[in-house]
Amino acid sequence: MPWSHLWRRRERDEELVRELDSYLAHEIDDQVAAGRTLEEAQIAANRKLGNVTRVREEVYEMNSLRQVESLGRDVRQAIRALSRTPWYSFTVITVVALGIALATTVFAVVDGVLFEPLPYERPRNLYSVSGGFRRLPDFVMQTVSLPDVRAWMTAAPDVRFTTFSIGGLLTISDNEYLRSADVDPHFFDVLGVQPLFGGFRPDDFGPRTTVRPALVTYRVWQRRFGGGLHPDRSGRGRPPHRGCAARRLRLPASGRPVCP
Amino acid sequence: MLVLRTLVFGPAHGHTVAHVIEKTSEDALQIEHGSLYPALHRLEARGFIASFWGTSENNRKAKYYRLTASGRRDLSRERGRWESLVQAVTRVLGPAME
Repeated sequence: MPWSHLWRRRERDEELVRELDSYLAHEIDDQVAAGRTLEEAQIAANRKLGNVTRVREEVYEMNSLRQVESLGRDVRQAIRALSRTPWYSFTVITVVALGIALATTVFAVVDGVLFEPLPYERPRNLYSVSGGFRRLPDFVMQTVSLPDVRAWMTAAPDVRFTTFSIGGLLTISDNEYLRSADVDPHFFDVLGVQPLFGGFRPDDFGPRTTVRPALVTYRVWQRRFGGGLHPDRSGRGRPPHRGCAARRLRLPASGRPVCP
Repeated sequence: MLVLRTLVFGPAHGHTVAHVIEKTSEDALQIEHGSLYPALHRLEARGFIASFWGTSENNRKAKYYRLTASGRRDLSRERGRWESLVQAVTRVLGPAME
């Protein structure tokens, strides 16, 4: 069915009525010419044409989208039924709306917490391999070790690896501690982010390094070390980077951080 | 198919189409003329026929239908199909039994 028929159904119905009237006029002419009276001719013509309403309905339905029409009727019926009991309808609609809002909120939180991609470049390509020990009847087996990772790095040069191990607590003040983690020089390259300010130097990871470097999160930098927007080289403020290490610190042997 | 065949000879309005079918079939095919109009509209929607308003031989306004190229092709196709069907049925029935 052409779409124009759908929009012009009323117009086409009126045209069909004119067409059927034209048929009746022609048939009456024929019947009168055959010797019948006008009244007899009208009756005979109407009998020959049949049920005009049924013909119009059939053509009207032909030019309609039945499912849409049916949906429209259902909606109108629902509105009429709801308007007969306004307070009941209001209560039901409010309860349903609140339920939808609550469900949406819960799903938004779950999506944000559990399913939101990590704020790193190509988070789907990041895999975490955890090491550990497996206790067997006669001995304890290490499942993944650092030599394993190094062997993988050699075997798959296209895949970038970094090591990450949970460290201890760093003492900031008498009642304030920070969780720490030990990383290798590839850590930020693998994640695809760079520190807002500072970073590691190649000699930081040398075998004879005695003063260990540390990077703190932007939040810690702000809260504990009074950091704010750090002026970049152009002198303008740089926006904070979410979850990114921000400030380079030198840790003496005691583990207490000192601003450089 | 009958409607399309009727329009091969030229444009005609619904009243003429109905009477031509009846008279050509020697009144073997008696149709309710009203049922012809949904068929005409369906054929028009498919593009097999086109319509226009004109003045009839009785000097009355009438909606005429004419066969389109697409309708002519469909008529040829349907006619071939019908003839195959008739031949098949004839073969099954075979010669008249004594």
